Amino acid sequence: MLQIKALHLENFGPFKGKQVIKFSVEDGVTIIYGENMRGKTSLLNAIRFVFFGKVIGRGTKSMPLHKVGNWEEASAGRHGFMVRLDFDDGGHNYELTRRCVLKNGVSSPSSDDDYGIEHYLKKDGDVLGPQQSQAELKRILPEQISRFFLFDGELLQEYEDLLSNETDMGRRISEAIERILGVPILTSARATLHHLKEKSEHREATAAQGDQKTREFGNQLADLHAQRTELGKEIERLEGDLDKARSQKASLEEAMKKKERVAALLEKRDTIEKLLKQIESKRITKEAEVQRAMSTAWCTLLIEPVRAVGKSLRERESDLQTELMRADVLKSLQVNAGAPCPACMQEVSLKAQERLQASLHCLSGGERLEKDVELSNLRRKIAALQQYEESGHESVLKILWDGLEEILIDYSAKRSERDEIDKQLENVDEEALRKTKFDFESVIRQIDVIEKGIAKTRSALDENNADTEAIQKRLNKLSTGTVDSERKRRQLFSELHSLFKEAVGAYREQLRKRVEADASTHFKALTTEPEYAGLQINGSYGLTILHRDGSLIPVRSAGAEHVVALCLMGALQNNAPLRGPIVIYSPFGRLDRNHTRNIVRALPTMTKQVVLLVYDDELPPDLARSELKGKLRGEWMLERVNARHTNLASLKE
Amino acid sequence: MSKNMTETEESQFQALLETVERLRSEKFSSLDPALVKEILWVHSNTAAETADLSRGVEMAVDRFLNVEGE
Repeated sequence: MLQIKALHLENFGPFKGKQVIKFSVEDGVTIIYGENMRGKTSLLNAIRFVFFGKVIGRGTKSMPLHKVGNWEEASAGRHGFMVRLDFDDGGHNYELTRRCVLKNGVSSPSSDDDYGIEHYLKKDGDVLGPQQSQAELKRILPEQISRFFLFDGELLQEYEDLLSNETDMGRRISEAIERILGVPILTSARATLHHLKEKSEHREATAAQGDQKTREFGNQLADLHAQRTELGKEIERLEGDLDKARSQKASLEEAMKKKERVAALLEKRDTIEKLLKQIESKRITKEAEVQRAMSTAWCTLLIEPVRAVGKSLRERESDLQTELMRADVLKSLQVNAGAPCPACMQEVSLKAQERLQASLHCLSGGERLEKDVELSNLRRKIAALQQYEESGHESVLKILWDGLEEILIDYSAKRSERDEIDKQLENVDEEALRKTKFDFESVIRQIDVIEKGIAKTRSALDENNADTEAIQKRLNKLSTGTVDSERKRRQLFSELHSLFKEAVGAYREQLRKRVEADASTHFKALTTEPEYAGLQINGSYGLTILHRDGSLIPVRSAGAEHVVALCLMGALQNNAPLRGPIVIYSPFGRLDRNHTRNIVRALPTMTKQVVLLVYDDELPPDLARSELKGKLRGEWMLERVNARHTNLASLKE
Repeated sequence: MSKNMTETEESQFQALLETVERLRSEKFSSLDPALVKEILWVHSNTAAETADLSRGVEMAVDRFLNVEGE
């Protein structure tokens, strides 16, 4: 088992000059306390750097090496840094050193190209050659599984992805889990046997071609084999493309996740831009309406005099009408003397007729015509004035103005909102972000096309296999010496291939059960919720909390996610042949005191060596001491000298 | 066989062998258990190249067929 003994740093991050942390060789926990920005991430990165030559920034993006060296030293013109890890594995002492040195002729580095990387591995005092060193490191800690040893609590999303069989990040992690658990030994045996089965089929076909009796079958088998080889190559090519596309998709997904806020702002701005265009078009229409209304707006000023004239004209009209009606009645009485009244059909007495004639003025023919013309002119004028009054210029204009004002206010509000977003997007490379989104959509389409291509090729391969099998059956009935021995060989490889093919599935199933059982044991010790019965595993090693009534808890908090991720790590340590230290950054940030207490108590049971990178509030030293007791093997403090310089100080060794 | 394996590698090899052997005895009993174990052993060297793995398995199978043919 890999066990860290010391970590030597020279000008790495805030660790100026030469500094060292020594770890106890006895089983237990070492705690490194440090406030934010003191260098906890740098310590996790120092281990990553010494093993894999990489440094990871926030998220999972690699950090440029020229930014890793101590800034104070760099500003004084001293560039470069070094990390050395002393460790024990399988009873051997190792010293792994990786140094980043400035290339000749470069005085102020601006990119990774300005540096050269030197690394060497000493085993029991002897420096190993490059190939041997690489093979040893690959065996001791393969990079693909390093996430289970170097655990960053900030990357919990990756573990959540395991719950969905859809995400590429989930797929990558579940592959890493299978790697740590030894599945590749079986999958690689399956691949070898598949290759040898194919090879033996080809040999059988060649042998059959060499004999008169079996030549025809041999030729057919050779053709099918050649076709199968091509189909196999095509599938291999497509799977390679699919892997690349998936990994590209995962990187793009990651990039988009990191820029989620910016992407949301961009999307919002696009929506506002569309709205602004719509408002602008409304404004133009409304302004045209106002303009049209304004061309007759002067009428509003005359409304009162017009109303007064209208009133007097209507009064005159009424007088005239009365006068004409009276004249008509009188005339009718004169013409029809003794006839009943035309209005009430009552008989009119002579006396009454005389009285009427005396009170009414009888119009002459000329007068009557004049009055009619006057009435007709009056009515025309009244109608014209009425139309004028009814047109309501005042209120229409007011409505139009109000509408326009509303539009302008809306426009101005939206424009301010857009300007605000623009300000926030000032230093953002919009083009790059849009390109990422475009590339992401393209890669999804590409994956779809490749998957369909693979399915189609597989179906052709199935047909080929069925045809081959049918011919082999017919060939089996014909016996010749060479063909018989090649057939026996082919049948043996075929059976071996089938055995290992089934073994992959069976072993995976066993592993899942073991990981589920161990993770559940850890979970029950860590959770403070008595109703939780354990964890249930899915096909990708994602773990879901199981209630004691048998139902699954579909949603969990960040704290619960943390606990479940730690349970998975503990279960993997129990089941993996590669055991080693767990270095955990920020393990308690999202946990309450009771969960923190449970986890601290359980850590020594997860693996032999645990290194915690924490801050005081997250894990108070008193709590750690009382829970870990004798299992607390070391306490270190990251002490601030200045913003660019941190010192490592031992509190307890 | 186990002299170059670490304790943990050995325990993993045993776990894999148990699975393969159980399947062999249940469904592929005509296969020779020693040959199956050797093939698994060849692949437990995770740092080996593909060509070396193929060669190792072919040699084991040829050896087995020769012995069987004698």
